[in-house]
Amino acid sequence: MIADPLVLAIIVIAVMFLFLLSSIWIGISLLLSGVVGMLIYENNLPPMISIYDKIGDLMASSLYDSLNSWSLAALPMFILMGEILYKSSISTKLLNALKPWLNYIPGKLLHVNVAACSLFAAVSGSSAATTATVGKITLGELKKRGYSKSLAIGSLAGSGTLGFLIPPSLIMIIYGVLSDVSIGKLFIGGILPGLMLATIYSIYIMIVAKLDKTVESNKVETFTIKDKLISVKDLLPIFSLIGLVLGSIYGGFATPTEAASLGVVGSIILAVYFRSFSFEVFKNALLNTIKTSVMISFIIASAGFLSQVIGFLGIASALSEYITTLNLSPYMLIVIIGLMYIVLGMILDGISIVVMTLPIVLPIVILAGFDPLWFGIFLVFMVELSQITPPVGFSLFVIQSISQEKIEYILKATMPFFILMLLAVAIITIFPEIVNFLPQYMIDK
Amino acid sequence: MKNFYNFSNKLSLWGAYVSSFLIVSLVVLIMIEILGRQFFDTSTMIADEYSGYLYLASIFLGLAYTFDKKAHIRINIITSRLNNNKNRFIDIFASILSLGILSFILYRTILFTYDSYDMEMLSEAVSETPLYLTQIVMPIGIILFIFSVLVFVTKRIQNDS
Repeated sequence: MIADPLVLAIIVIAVMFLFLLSSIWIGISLLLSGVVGMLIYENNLPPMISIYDKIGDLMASSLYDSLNSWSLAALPMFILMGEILYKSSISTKLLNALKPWLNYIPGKLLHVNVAACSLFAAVSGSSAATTATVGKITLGELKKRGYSKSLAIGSLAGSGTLGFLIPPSLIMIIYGVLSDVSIGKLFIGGILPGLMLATIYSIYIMIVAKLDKTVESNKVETFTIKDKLISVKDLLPIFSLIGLVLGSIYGGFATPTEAASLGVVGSIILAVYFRSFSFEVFKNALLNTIKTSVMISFIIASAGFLSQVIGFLGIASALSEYITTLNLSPYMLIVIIGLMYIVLGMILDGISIVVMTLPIVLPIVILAGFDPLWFGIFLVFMVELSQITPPVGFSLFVIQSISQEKIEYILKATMPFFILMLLAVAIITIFPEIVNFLPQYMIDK
Repeated sequence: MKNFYNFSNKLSLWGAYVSSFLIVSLVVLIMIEILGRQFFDTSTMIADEYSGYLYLASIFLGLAYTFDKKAHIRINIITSRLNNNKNRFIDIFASILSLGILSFILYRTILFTYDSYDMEMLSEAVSETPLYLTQIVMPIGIILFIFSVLVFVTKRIQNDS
């Protein structure tokens, strides 16, 4: 039996990785690690209460309390919205509508991934959904027109991750619930960093296109005023949906959960308008929604139990105190935390990383004087990086299945965008105002 | 054995259908709340509270279906390098641990629900909903989940995919 929280922390973390790496389902691994933590703890329970009773109480109530949440109820709805849009012809519409406008920028259609992902991210809560929806059309089209395959894949991987940064965002909902930061503020706080990242990508594509003429298609396409007017007609429903979801939150008219249900209804209307809605589509969208939201929520609930255990064992406070004794400067601390997330991002998916680390990392970060709202956006960037770092990176898997390219090739194509993302992280760390600027003007509900 | 497989698969699928229905209800409930508030100046009074219940229930009832569809994620950076026999062994080991913890959760969530029932606990919101009604989905969902894991592990033991 062990009483020292630091030793307990090391053992619990080691046991957790042992379970995770032996391919036990992530949710189950977290539950098991929590149980192990409780069993090795030198507890001071009165003799009539068995430790199993304590574990059982903690488990049943934390599973219930983690998921009985009005805020988290937004998750399945945002996922459903994405599923309905994925099955609709929105990807083709986005491509056709953006084509006439991108023709004048160096790199031309190479910007389509950045532009389409930024727009789609504003109606989708996840990076995998954004990458899949945009990529299923653009990769083929760019290849057909003779654009650089490597830039097409890299820009898709990079911009697809905007799904988490540009609101709505599943990660922000989860972070908001766990950290008690307003989800509405997180959503709005993600807009400027998201647009900044998209701009950085576009500038990079322009520079490459200027330096190397072969990346661009040499076919000259011309567009008339009529083409542009038609394109506006296709973009309008998408902009209306963005306005409905984000506008209602920013204007204080709806909470994020309410905006999610508006979004579902809006996406159904949009799919009907694009003539891609049927009962079959809706049924499949719902079943896919169940799979994704259950997968995510089971991990959230299990992590809820584990974080109760961590609190009970005193690990979180002991680690915070220990870190304080190291006297790290805030920048040094955030660099170390960032590196830790990049390493974790290689073996775990983004959501698991957030729910597993937050009970320990958040108190440390707040103690060091960081704003929890800012840290939420920082964390979203970390999750985005984890989406494109091997061997476990969900965006990479999605792109692999669309493009049928070797993973090594995709990685090489993604590398420049990974570095650009690190640059964006550095910028928001030095200038946190980029995150805080919009939220301070919103009407918070 | 085949009968049990079919039975468990059907249960999972029905769980998923009920989950789907609950999510649709969630959307409808919140839409009613928004429309009522904006146009009729009324409130359902229960939208906040019941969204939590509906979400919780949809997750627990969908656990088994998600498992059947192999959508619960696991890390396979090590196991993907091993041969089928070793992977079988790992799957069986992982399933047995899962069955252990799930049985414990089943027992504890039954106790949890029963206690609420026995003590006639009501929600603190205006609806004063008996809490056991919102908790009973936990043991039900876990039972379906256990069946699905049982199907998976027996198939793996028999090396039948």
